[in-house]
Amino acid sequence: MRINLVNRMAASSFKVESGIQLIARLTKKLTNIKFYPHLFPSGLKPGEVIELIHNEDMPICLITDIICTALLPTNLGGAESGVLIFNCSGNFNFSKLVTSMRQKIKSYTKTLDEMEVDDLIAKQFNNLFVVDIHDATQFYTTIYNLENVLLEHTNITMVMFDNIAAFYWSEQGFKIMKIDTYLKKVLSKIQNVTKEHKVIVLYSKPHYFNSSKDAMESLEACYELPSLDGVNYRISVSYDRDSIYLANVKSYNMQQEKRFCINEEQVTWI
Amino acid sequence: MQKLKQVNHAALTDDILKKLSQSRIATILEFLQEDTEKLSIITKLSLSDILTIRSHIFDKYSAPLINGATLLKRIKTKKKFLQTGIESLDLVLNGGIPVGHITEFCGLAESGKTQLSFQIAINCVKETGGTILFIDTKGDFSAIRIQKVLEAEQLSHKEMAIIMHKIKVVHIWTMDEIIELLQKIKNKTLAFDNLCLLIVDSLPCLMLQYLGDDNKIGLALLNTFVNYCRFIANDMEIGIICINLQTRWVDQDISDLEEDEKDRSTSVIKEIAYVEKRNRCLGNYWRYVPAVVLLLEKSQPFESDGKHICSHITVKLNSERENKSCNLLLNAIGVTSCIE
Repeated sequence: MRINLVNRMAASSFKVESGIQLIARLTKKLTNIKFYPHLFPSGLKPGEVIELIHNEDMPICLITDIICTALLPTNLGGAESGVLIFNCSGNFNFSKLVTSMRQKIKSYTKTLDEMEVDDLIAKQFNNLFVVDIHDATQFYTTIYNLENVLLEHTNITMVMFDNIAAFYWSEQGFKIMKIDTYLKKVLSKIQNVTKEHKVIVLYSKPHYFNSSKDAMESLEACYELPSLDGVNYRISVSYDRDSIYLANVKSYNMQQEKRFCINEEQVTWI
Repeated sequence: MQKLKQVNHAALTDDILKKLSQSRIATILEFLQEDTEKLSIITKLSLSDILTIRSHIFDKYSAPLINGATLLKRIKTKKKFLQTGIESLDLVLNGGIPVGHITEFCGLAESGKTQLSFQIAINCVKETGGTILFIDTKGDFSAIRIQKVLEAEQLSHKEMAIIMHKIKVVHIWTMDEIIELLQKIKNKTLAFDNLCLLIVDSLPCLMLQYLGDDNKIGLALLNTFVNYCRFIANDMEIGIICINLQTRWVDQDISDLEEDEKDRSTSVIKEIAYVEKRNRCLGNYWRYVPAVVLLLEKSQPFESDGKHICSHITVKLNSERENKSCNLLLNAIGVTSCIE
């Protein structure tokens, strides 16, 4: 009789949730993050996935600028959120991140002296976490360990992978997995771990890393809402001309072209 | 992907590993992505034991989390560049060969890549007193060429001996061998006193045997090589120079051909344009690997001082659109900044 009652209750009105789901729900992230309007005019929703496609000469300044804006306090034009970087390519330059943050702070506040700027940088860096990844085993174990990391550091709002294709070839044996299939598999592993924590996932991938040779047009459409192994924003960056870069931004309901140039290693949107 | 038996956990006995293997769980990844309750049923271990194994795997294999404060400290204290000892080249490189990253020297055959790497090796030993590991894959490493450069600098025999002693040469013939060497350096089973620079001359020599290989084994090996290089460069705070080859060919300009098609209708005969095209070897994957790419281009040789045949080499930074470049003077007695 009692068992029947429990079964009926479970089947009708009760939802069973794990401890992780409970903690993630209790530390729920903001509903919409106003962040980097040049690329995301309507802001970002927790759990969304952003794909950044780039050539080999894409200025690292763009990724640095995005991370820097995510870390900066809101009164300085940032999102004041925690960021975790999966440094897979090894080419992310953290010194440039400090330089970029210093220049941004100075451009917003003229009154701070060097010491105060240093203190502010140190404070904002408290929201930054990095994992240096050197092989495929380390890549996957660190992804599965993300659950523990996100539980411990609830301020992390964005997880960034630079770049997601770094270990593709080392994982291929005599049988080669299609690039698109591989990408979906990796993304679904990441999302399985991060979905309860509602973090934004941003990953970069090289232009060639695509099963079809027709590039952007042939890629799957962007999703409106966060969904497993699908992306919500796709940004393709390429060199235009006269030191100007072109960012082609796609979401489920918009497509726009934005141009930027680099002045003293700082991104300036045109 | 590493096998589960490499985890070395007391609870993962041969019997348990066999049971897991029968359920197609043989690698660490397969273990981690499986539901913990299902693993408990398969292995007949308690849920707590399964979670302990998972935790052990995370401790042993996942990357340590670096917080912002540690990162800032690292940025302030870490060596960022290795000066090349050639002033104009250091200016182009914003300080020198980046430490912790892979740098590529690329150019046509005989563009001065090896000679430049010899000069940088000598200058680095003189500047830092550290060891240079020169990986020779072509089998043409010449100590005499280094000696000539040192003699031109009018060093004593003792000084020359010290510098030459610091440049360690390893001959490598296959990708497997170079990976084994890097693995030993990573695991510290092979150690060099104060290693500061690793030079691979040249990478395409090892990779060309995999050209056209449908199974892409070459790319798998290249990816593994890059992973080791990145670990060593970061962990030991050294610079890594990989020498790559540039190829060139003459091609018909396609746009002109299309124009020709249009012109035919107007009966105008137009000459087909031929253009020289150049390409960096090692394919698409490699293009994204180096943090810095230096393109070397050699001028026609000329007699500079009545004694030496020289060439100018233009060194161009390929990673940015800034088009930074410098001219160097190259001859048998070394590479120096070019006085305009």
